[in-house]
Amino acid sequence: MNGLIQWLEKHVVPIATKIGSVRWLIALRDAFISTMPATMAGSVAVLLNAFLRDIPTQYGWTGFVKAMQPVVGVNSQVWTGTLAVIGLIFAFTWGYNLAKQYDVEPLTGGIVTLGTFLMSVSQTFTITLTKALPKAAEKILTASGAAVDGKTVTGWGYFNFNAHFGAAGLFTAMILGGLAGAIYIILTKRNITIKMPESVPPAISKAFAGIIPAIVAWYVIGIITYVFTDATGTAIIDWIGKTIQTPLLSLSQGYGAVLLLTILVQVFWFFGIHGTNVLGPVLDSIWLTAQLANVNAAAKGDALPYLWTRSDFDMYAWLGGAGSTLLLLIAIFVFSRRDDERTVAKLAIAPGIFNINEPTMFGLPIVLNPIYVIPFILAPVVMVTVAYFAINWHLVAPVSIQMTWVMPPFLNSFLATSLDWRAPVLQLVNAVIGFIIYAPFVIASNKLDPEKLA
Amino acid sequence: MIILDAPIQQDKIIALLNAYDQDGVSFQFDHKKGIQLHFTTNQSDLATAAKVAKAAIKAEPWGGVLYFQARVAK
Repeated sequence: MNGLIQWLEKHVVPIATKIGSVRWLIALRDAFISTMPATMAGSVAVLLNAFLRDIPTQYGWTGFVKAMQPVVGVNSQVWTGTLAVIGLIFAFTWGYNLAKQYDVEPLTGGIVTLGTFLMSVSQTFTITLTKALPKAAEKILTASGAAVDGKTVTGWGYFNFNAHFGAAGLFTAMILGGLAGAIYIILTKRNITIKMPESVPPAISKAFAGIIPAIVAWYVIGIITYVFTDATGTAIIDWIGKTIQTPLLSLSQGYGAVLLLTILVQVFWFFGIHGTNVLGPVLDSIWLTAQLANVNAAAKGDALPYLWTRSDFDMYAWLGGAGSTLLLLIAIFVFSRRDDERTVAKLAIAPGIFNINEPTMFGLPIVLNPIYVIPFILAPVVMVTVAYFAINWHLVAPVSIQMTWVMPPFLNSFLATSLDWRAPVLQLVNAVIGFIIYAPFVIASNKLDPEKLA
Repeated sequence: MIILDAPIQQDKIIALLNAYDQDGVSFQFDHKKGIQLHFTTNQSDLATAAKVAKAAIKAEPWGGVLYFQARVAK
């Protein structure tokens, strides 16, 4: 084992350290994490509306739905200000965290990337009618800011909120925001800024310092978006969505990608590397984007676009935390005759229910414990496989509500799938599988002397 | 005594904490038991000392990716 650790420290840890210390990746991960209050509030609103509107409607309880309309309306308002505009919110948190990583004024960084995102979105419309509108209709449209010229109606300042501000805009926010953020950071670092006397209050001084870098960043993006739209007749956000975001997310829906991610996280955890931290940028930018697209689709009553999302890993592969260690604890209660393991299991079961497994990982320990390496990696691999195909064969509904990772098993899948009872059943099947995989290794560990393992 | 459950980079952790001396907090490596690194500290508040040790490791470029825990020895 010592030789393996030395090999890891020499070859694997430096790579993980490099990945984990790339400031762009840290900023990306933190930008997604920063959106959590909005994603959770929006998810709660979608969940409540599922209880108050969607499910009662299925049963024909129209009276109840009508009575609940004001509450449904409030929930819709909350969703509108959170998940429905998650691309817009991310556009700000991305620039903020990127600037923070490079020790430049983060607030300006967030403003720069937010403005950049809005430049990528089409804001005009032209409608050609088959016949001219009546004067009354023309008057209404003109009053709302549109221009009517015979059969042609044009408007300016109309963002397509529904198509662009949600999860569909995330990759555009990442790419153009990244470019604008880089310009802002580089110019600020090179002191191409307006410098104020020391007597000026810091808030004013910081705002002035950001003027030149922000203007340059916005003009570069402004030129790109204008030229692109002018040349192609397409908003750049639509082009990025079609040529980059959709194909990448489609790739993430393959079994190979899901399996590879699961194995990598497990291997990292086992060797004492923070798996979900190191791979967080991949997990969040790909599978969380897919999840947010699903939640927004559910809120609008549309078909869910993606089958496998971020929470599926937590719900079906990592019951009780990475490695599904909750199942190991149950196996210990049933089969272990070792006092040390049973004591750890008693202490670790309560946090384990909330998917916190440090007491298990370090208490037994599992980390670098040769007895448990096989089930620790194998159980999630088998479980993720079962869940992946169950969802792909439409035996279980995909995730349509975002859950926080500390939500206990069974409850999390039931709520996350908008109350699909088959989801906790799938978790139960996976729990039995994981338990069976762990059991022989717990029995084997009965024969070991804990003192020698230490 | 505080314990750091750290499976890898143990040498770096020991070196870092042995050299640590900030805000009057210092650590001294005592012994190793499996993945456990035992340290003594000049602090009477061991829980806070454990937090300081964890933060110091996390602040290092190589420490940010490590999965470990710092706790008070019972």
